[in-house]
Amino acid sequence: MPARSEGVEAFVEGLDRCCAAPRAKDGYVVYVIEPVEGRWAGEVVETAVEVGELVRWPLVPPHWIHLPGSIVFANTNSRPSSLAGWTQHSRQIAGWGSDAEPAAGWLAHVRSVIGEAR
Amino acid sequence: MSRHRVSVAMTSAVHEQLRAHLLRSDNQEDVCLATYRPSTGATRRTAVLRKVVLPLAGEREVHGNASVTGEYVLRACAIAHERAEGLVLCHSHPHGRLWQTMSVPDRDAESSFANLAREITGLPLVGMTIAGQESIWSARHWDRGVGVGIDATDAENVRIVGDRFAVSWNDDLVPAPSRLATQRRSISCWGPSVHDDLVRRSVLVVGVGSVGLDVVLRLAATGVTRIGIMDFDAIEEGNLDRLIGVTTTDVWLRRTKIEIARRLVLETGTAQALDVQTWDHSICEPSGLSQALDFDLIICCVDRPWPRAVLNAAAYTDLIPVIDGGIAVDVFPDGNGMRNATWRSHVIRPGRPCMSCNGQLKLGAVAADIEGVLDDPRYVTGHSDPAGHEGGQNVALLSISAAAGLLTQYVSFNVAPGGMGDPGPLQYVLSTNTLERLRSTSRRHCPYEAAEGDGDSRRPLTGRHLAAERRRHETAGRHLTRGLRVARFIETVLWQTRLHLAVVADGHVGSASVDL
Repeated sequence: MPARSEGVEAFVEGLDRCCAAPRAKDGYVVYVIEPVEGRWAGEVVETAVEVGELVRWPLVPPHWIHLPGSIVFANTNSRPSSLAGWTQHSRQIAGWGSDAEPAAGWLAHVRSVIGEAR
Repeated sequence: MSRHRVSVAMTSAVHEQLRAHLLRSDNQEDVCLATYRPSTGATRRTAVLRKVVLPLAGEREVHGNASVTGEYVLRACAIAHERAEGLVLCHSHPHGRLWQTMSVPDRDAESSFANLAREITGLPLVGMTIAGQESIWSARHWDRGVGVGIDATDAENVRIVGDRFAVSWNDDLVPAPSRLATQRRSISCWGPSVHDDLVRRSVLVVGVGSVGLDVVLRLAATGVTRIGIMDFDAIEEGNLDRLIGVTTTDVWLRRTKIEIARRLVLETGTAQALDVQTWDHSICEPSGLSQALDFDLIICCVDRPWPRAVLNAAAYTDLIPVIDGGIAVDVFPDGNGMRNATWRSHVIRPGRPCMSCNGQLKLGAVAADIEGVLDDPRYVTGHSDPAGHEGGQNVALLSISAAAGLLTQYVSFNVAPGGMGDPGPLQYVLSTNTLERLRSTSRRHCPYEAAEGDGDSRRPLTGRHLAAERRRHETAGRHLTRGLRVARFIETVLWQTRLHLAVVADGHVGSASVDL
């Protein structure tokens, strides 16, 4: 039986499969996403998840979405990110656990969040 | 190795597969192999059966007795090794009825493979015997000594998790308790043999709020002999309208919920040798989960997403059924008037949708709960339903119904009235006064249900629980005034006196064994 990857490793492998170009940076997994609607539609946007939030992946999805400060929302619960110039936004994913590829489900969630940005 | 507790758990699907092979129509003994993963609790190690490896042609001989070839054992060991699992050697006693002791040939056969199995898989061989007349299993772990000195530890029980919960008991290790006159009415509900079985099944109640406290007291009154209670909270003024039996004195003396729950259980319990263990831990802490893995069944009476996620996982990874439910009260937006109330109950186990699949656990809220932001007003402002429930309204008049829902599931699952076990998710709707059977299905890619039987290989969901740590710290460092310390001492002495009186009373009333 092949070894089952867990946590951060599984998250990065999933993002790789989804061509999201994940890379490690200062305790974060930074990756890219291309929103399909909203102000940032069609642009490649960098976003990140803190490694500490990935320990229980995929049983527990992360909560905070880290985005560059240039991406702002009309309504959001946010606080500064430790990535310089970035902000972390509180977003609760709905319907978690339905996807064969959890990373794809996560990317869909983040894409939808960024779609609301100004 | 010192004496320790061991057991075996399997799903009804695995049981049926083994049974179909081992119990032959010609009534000869048969044998087969399987794999398992360990599930290690604080004091008990359980072998969770995973894969049945049936013999190929020529790999075993049936000749009244049955024997396996070395090739078969090696093939199964290789499969077990590849899956990071241990080996199980199963055989049948077609004419047996109860828990089977080992005959000399059985012992020789198992011990001859025990060293080999452990060398290849790294885990002790588990031996199992099925008594054909009533499909009663017995089991042992070959986990003591090495070489010619290898020896087995007898299991205390074998548990089968399916539509109903079936448990085979090693009466030498866990004898049936005395049937007491105080329990006559309870025993008459299902008969002595069911009662002997039911009250030996250890139950952990996680969370002793309004629902959990009622549940645990009724388990104790019924005669359940081993009860665990886990809660890290202290009693507060706001609990008094719902915690029956808790007083303003308990609030004033800063008692914890487990202190009071333990007292009430000891006062209410009818078992002669009632074993009540309490922990001021969260199930989310590694120590909390470790204690939970020692129990046969868990009743979940907590509403936070993180502990519910941990219990949701354990029901599948460790095959410990979790009876879960809760109450939701819906009030009109202006706070004047009740629109509706519902209470739900269900058994979380392999073969049934997990809490997330049946809509009772929002996995998206778990990370926020872990971080402790669910109580942050700024966070709550941005999420109308952050924890998966609305405002936490509850009332003693209705919490008894939620407790009744859980206990109904408990009786159906354990006793199977009319042969019918776990009824599936049920919901009572107060406004229309209707009981609904809820239809829910497992999502195809549910990560919780996919982890069935993982045991100690489970993905970690536990971690530091700051709220529990803070509460324990506050409790340990209670800066009580001299007056409060004296009051606590007096109240403790009074309670102990009452308990001693109860022991004396037991000698006069109801402690006589009855022949039922």
